[in-house]
Amino acid sequence: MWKRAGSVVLRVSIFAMENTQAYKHKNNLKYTFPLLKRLVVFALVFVFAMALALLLTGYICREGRLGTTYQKNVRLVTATSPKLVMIGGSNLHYGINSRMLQDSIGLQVVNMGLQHSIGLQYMFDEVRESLYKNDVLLLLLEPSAYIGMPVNGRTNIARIASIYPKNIDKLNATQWYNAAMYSGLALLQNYRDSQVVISKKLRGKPTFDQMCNELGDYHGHKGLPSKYKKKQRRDFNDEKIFNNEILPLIQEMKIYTQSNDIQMVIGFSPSAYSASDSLLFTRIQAGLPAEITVGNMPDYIFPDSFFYDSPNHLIYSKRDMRTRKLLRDLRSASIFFTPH
Amino acid sequence: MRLRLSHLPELPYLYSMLFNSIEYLIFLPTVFILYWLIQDKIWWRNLFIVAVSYLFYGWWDWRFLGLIIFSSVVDYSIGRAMGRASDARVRKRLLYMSLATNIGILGFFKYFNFFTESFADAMQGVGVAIDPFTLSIVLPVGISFYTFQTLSYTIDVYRKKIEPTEDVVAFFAFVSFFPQLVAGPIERASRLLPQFSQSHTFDLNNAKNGLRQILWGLFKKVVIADNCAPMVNQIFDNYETQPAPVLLLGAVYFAFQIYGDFSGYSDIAIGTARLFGFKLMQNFAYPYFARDMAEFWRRWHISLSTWFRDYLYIPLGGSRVSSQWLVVRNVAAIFIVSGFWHGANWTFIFWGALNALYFLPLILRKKNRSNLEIVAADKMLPSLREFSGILLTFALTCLAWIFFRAENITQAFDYILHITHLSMDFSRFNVINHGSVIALIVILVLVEWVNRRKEFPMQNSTLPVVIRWAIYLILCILILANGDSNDSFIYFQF
Repeated sequence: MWKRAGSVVLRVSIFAMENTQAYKHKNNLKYTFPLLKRLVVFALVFVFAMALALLLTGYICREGRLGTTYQKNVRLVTATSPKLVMIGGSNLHYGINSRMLQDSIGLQVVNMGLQHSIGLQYMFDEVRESLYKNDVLLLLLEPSAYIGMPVNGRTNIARIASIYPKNIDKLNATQWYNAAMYSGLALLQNYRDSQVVISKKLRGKPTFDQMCNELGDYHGHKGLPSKYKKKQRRDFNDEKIFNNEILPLIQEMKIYTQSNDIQMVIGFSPSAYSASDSLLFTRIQAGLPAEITVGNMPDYIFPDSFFYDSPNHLIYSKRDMRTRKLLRDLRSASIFFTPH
Repeated sequence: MRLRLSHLPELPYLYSMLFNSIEYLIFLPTVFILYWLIQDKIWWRNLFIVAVSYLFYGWWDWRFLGLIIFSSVVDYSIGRAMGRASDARVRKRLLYMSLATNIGILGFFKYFNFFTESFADAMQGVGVAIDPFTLSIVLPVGISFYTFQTLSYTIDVYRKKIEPTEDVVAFFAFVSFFPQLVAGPIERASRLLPQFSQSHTFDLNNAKNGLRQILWGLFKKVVIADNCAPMVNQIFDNYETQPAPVLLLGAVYFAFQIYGDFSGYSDIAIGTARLFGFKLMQNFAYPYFARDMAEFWRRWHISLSTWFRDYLYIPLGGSRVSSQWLVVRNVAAIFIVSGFWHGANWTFIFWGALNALYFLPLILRKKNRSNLEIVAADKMLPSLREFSGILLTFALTCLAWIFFRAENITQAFDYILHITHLSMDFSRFNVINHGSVIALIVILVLVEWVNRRKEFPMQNSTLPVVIRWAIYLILCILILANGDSNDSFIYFQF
């Protein structure tokens, strides 16, 4: 056994010596260089082609749903402080009356709600620089965002980067990685949405961005009945409540806002789940920082007929009901707003 | 979505290195560069192949490594012992040892629960209630492939077709060669083993073809197969409420799902091997262009069908036996065993038997070698007769695939029965999703038809470089756009 081991050591040493000398003269890897060069060039061309395709389709999708981020960002920079900035998913985009809120609290309101799958990290980073002293940041996330959605987003982070390239500098390394990994799917979805946009324009129908008011509220579903079907409901595996990243991120934002005299508040999204989900929602609420949470999550469970096309998108006529409920929660939690 | 075979234990896919995964995307170039960096020292190069192949295989589950190492040690030792033995009886005993070991391993891991449960069912049928003793056995990925590969070595050594190798590293490399380790092609020792004793120089044209073949394989797997899969699952899970045309479509989707999945994997394996200077056998030769079932089986999973031909069918006498009944027996044996190889379920056995039924008329009438050349070899389109043959063969194949896909025999017959009901109730049929999948299948068929004379469509492409690169870009984008599912390959379960 020792002889064998010694033989192996000897062979390794001889191999190392021979190859160090041989490498200086000739090795097979050199012959692969033409192929490797072609691969590198192809990879660069591919990245360029993907980026171009994403930006082109993203440009058309400016008039799609994710493109309403343009109006929302304009509102964000033009609204005067102290202001109320609401961030969250599409429950905000579809289901809040920002004007009613604005009239009630006496502050300018910005509805940044878009799509929760862009990730909470992006939502925070998007508004961070526009938050000033005495502003209020209100987080209204869908239940699924607390459980399943990674904070750095997936396909939609690639889409939002292509549709609103101004915020590209705000993406972190993980978001860049996700954007790259999901770029193919993002391109497919951009392409599909751009077809919808082009089709609407050709038929003279208003596009998504034209159905979003200056405060960031969507009203394209005004007058439309509920088409939400029970089978769209998701069943949550309530063994794991929170994804590992979301609570630390909320804590981090809470510290940031407190250190900059900004008030951070967490509210809840309307949900079309059954009453049996109230236990799950109670557990979610219990995990959130109680001192900045307003309202009661199970109280935001509504009948299916209140919803438009998903378990979190209210029909137009129910926005006011939700907004009034939110106002009551804010007032009962003694959230004071500095008046103009 | 994966092909769901509920009777098979779950495989540890969580950490698998699938060919369409990020891990493999990092693994392959790294191995490629290191491989060619190694000087032309065959022993060291083979050792490197063994190391990376075990890393690749161990990535699935390190516990599986012991089994493949054990199988390799046994067959290497038996091969050497056979080489030294002059007595035919000793050689035969050694061969039986190899057969017992390899088939024993395969039988235990793959078929133990099937046999105990089938026995219990049979006893219940005669009124004796038995509680079957089953084990929670994890099926090692690729076991059906590498055991057959090592068996081919010992059988060929026994037949004195090849000399037993003394190079243990070369042998281990032959058994564990990572491109074809987990799902074939099942290589013969006479073809692959000598390649581990030869030095290789890098061939740019061969490597380019290798990359093209990998790209084409990924397209078939990720774009075609993975888009057919949810359609198949939806139709087969709800077959009771689907109209007859949709049920037929479901069988067609599955035909392309399994073709895209398996031939796609084979292409990736063969293309990968090309990058390292190795030549693996062609495993699929456009089987859906076959004009009869005999031609189909010359073109589908060629490595397995030729394995059964050489090691089972011919030793039984093949078609050169004294009576027609023996021919029937031999044909039935080869197809039923082939079906059984695919999985421990009566559906696979029935699928094999059905294919035997298809094949028998041809061989009994000695028409099994009517179509040896490529269809419409010197024409653009097939003749009406050829086209009819292609359609009929495809229809028969799809009928058999229903049994292959179904959870059990009852469901398969029920599915076929529902087709015969000729229901035209399309109220629950969503036409929107099907258009793009059908379009992809049509594109695949057209591309493969135009390039049917080549080993794979993009081989030695003479198109202008701009067009070629545009095609590569489109394929890469399609693969990336469809690559989110991370579905494993169907044949990993075999």
